[in-house]
Amino acid sequence: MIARADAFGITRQCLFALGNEVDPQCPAPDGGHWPPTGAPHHTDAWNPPPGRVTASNEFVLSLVQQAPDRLCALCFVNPIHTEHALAEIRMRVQQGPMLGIKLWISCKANDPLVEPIAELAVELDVPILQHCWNKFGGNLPGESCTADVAELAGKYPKLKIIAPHLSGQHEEGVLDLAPHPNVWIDTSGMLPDAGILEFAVEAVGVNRILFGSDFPLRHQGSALARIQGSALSAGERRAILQDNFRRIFNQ
Amino acid sequence: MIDHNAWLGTWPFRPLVDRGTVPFLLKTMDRLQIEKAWVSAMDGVFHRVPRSSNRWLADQAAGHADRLETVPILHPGMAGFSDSLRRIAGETPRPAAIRLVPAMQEIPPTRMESAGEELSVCGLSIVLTVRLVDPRARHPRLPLPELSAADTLRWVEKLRPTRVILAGCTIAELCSFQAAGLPESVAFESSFLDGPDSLDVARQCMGAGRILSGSNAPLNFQESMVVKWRKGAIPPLEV
Repeated sequence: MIARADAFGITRQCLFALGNEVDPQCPAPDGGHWPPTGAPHHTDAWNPPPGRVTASNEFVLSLVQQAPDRLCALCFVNPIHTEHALAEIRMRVQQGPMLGIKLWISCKANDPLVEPIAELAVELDVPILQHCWNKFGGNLPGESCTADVAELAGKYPKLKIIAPHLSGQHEEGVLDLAPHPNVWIDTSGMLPDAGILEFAVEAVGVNRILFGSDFPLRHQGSALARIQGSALSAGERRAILQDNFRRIFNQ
Repeated sequence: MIDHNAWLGTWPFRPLVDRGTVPFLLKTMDRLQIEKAWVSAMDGVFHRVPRSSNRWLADQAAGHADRLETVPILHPGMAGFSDSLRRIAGETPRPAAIRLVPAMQEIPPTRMESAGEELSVCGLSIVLTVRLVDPRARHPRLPLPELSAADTLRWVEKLRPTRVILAGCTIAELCSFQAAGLPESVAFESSFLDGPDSLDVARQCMGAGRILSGSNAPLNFQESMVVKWRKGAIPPLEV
């Protein structure tokens, strides 16, 4: 992972798990081919039980421990298992070394189940990376769209939220998030498409955009090409590639 | 390096500013050390008779024959297709290839039969565009953005033994096509092979000679093509 990142000049990587990485009994939802398609709500893979969430976080931490100067991590939790989620966050974020919280698709961002996690994130002053997409044809049942994230952001204005997958948000998704200064957008996911990053910079300001790759689903160099090939100044690129990360994560 | 899948012009569903212009394309190619690009006219994807967009393309590329190879679009479902094909095949110099975008062109099966026969003997390579955008991110007004695997295989079969380049295949499609036993005359353009190891897997799957570099620019980035093929960092665009 580090050797690959070196090839493209990526010096630090923020990792998280999704509850399915370390259990050979639980492959990816469609048999190992990503992105998964068509699985119903609350399948075992997308609604991992507490034991697998814990194992996933420990797996990620074992990677971070091998290269703490190059790797950092977010704590993945499943809001459906509230008490376990809060305990994981207190153990791995409050006490360290994890830097924030990752929420995926077991329930939407505006589900009341997310509220205790949001409140704890505010208390700890750490961001939540909340998966979101605006898919043509519709999202999965527990999968947040930008409007769901905007609702959470409006309810908790002191909560720092990172909404990933810029290309999957489209212009209208960026505009959903624009009124909420506590939401940052990351560039991960999908084949890098031209035009949308410049649009996002104009809509939300360069200080609210973070570089992300979605590795290992996507090629890190290709994800970086989205930044390098966009019509941005050197200072804007630097903000997206490193300064904003440092600011939001207090690094 | 050659970009076997580039476009000139504008795309109605996303602002691309000046990325679809010849000056922008050539400047990017210079910066990234791309020797040549095969270019089609983007609006030809939507035209029932793409003749005017092909003419526009030729005008745009005039004077840059050393860098830009024009790839005219043909619509096999429309009257005049046979004449257009004959005219293009008779041009001097001949274009690098012709491009079909069957998913956008909604070609009836009977037309596919007859057009396939004509195309298979025209002596030109054919870029068969499987997709232009990720279907999850397509605009609601963009119809039929993809060619199904079944239709792709039908076209390939019809076009035998012509050289066919499938543009915009995913790695999953490529692997499924390998299982279907595509003829050696079929090659694959790489723009939608975007996993960390997809290019290597594609080469192992099909043989390196059948995987061609391509970007789908300006919808996607030539930078993305270059980093995947050269496996290294690239110089940023200077603004």
